[in-house]
Amino acid sequence: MQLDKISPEAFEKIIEMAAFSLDGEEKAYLLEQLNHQLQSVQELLNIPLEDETESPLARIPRVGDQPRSDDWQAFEKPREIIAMATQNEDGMILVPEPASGKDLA
Amino acid sequence: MSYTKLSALDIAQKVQAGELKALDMLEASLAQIQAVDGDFGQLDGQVTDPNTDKKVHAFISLTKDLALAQAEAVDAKVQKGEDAGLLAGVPVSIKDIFALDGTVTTAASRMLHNYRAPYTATAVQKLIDAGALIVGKVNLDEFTFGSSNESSAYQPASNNPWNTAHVPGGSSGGSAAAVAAEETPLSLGTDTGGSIRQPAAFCGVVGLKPSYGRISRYGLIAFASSLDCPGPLARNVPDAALMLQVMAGSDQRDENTSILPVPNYLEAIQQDVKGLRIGLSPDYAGIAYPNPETGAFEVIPVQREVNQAVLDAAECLAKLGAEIVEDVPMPHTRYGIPVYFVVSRIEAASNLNRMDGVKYGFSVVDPKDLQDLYRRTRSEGFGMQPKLRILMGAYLSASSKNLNYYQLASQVRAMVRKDFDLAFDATAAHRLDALLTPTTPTSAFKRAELFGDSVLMQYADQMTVSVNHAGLPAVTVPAGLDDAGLPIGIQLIGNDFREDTILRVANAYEQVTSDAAWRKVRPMALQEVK
Repeated sequence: MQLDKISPEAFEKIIEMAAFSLDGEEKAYLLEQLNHQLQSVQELLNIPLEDETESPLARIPRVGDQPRSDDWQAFEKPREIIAMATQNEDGMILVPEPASGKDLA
Repeated sequence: MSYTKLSALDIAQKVQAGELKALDMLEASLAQIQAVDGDFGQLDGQVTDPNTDKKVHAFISLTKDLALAQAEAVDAKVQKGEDAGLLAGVPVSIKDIFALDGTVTTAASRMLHNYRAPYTATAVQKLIDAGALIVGKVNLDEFTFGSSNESSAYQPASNNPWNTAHVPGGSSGGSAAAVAAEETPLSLGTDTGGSIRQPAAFCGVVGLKPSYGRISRYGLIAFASSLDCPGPLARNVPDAALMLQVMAGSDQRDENTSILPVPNYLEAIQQDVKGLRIGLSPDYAGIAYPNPETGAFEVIPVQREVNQAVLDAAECLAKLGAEIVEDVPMPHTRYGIPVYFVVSRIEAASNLNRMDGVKYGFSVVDPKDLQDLYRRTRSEGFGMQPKLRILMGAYLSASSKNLNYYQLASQVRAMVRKDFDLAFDATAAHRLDALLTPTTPTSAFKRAELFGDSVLMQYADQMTVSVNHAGLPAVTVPAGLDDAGLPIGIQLIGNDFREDTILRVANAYEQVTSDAAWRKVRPMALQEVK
């Protein structure tokens, strides 16, 4: 299987997905680099895969193996976190209104 | 002798014994930073020093007041006859990707230029609890995305102390440079595809990537969550073992930390290497790189002096009684970078979705609406390398229904791991205790030589990245200088949670080469410093 280069149309779509707004010079550089990176990824399509694959991290006994108790723990400095928001009021983070009729994704 | 030449172990012992005050040690460290570092990395940094090309530029910020308070606390404990900790009075620098309560934590990005962490990362807290003096935050590639430090939004980026026209490597380049330039004997870095080991090799210091889950990631700004590992950079193996000792262990705040007990690494490294089986693999002799014009893969051999350093190290270890096992097959090593392009980009894009200009960090003024806020904030806040990684992650995540890139890469990742399983299997043919490889295909490259070529820059990590895919520990130790006088590193890879074994081999190698002529050479940036 041969991977196709990313088309300008597909590139515009992923720019939209990533929530970027790029100028022409940035687009030219980024598209060239993405297509070069895909040449590397191409190698993966030519490997005979094995059926059974275990995650390399699956065998490690870890903290998360036992579900932790569902105890609510208050953060000691919530105001500091809220204060970092660009806009906040009465302990709440404010955001601008979405553009009407537009999909936030 | 200047205090800054002391090892971390010596400093801690002298401070605890009352022979050296933590305050004096801090003063010496700050004076060294003043002497060699030059302008710190700044957002839209303006160079003010005419000799800036000869400076190290490891730091983004100092935390003098914090370090001063810590030094006073250590000295007070010693005065009262109390245990001041394993790192009593030892200056430590922190890669600016770790949260430290009350300090700006930038990730070397405009996106977080004003983010003041409201909590402290577990690894950093453990250092503080052990008596370390946190002197400041050091530079890195933006969000750790790079192998040269050049992508930092905080300029001037770090230089290589051995030759300041060369890069220190990355992404923990500031950490490696700070340790090599004797600014701090220890630095805390992170390794996602080689980001501790590659800069450590380039700067002639020791760098350890622990097993995944050995050190908590809590408080580390995430890049690729299934690969990220915090770890130590130090000037010698015992210091790296000491720092690991302090930071290792389970953490309820990181569910992927291991619950396995932490061995005594300092004791373990004192053992000899007689009978240990150390492998060499032909699959680490070069990198297979796609030609940008044709797409055909070309094998570029490892630099001659680097290859020779590996063979010389094997000979040294054989003389110490280790058994050298040649021709160990590691056939999936060449797929480490393609797998990394998929796994790390998809995970990075997911992690960076949270940077939206709403909750913290950079945000544009007067957005028209929410979409405008997102787009303009992310476009102006991220540099080119984060944008590239996010776009690649978005593209691969949105792949067609009949091709799931992440699943495909995960399958190949498991095959990479299987190579190591076979090599370390005590019942199989090779039965290795450690695999000895080059750390990097070349010594440090010149500034601007690779920057912008995201593929070739990534392939510089081919010797290191398989270890991250497999979740294994690996350490790089200095093994000589090349014809240009730049450091060479060799890598020892161990089985799961066998940091004790690889540190033991590394220590034996360090001891047996302690009188080598190349160990007497000092980095260029230190030659004018008394």
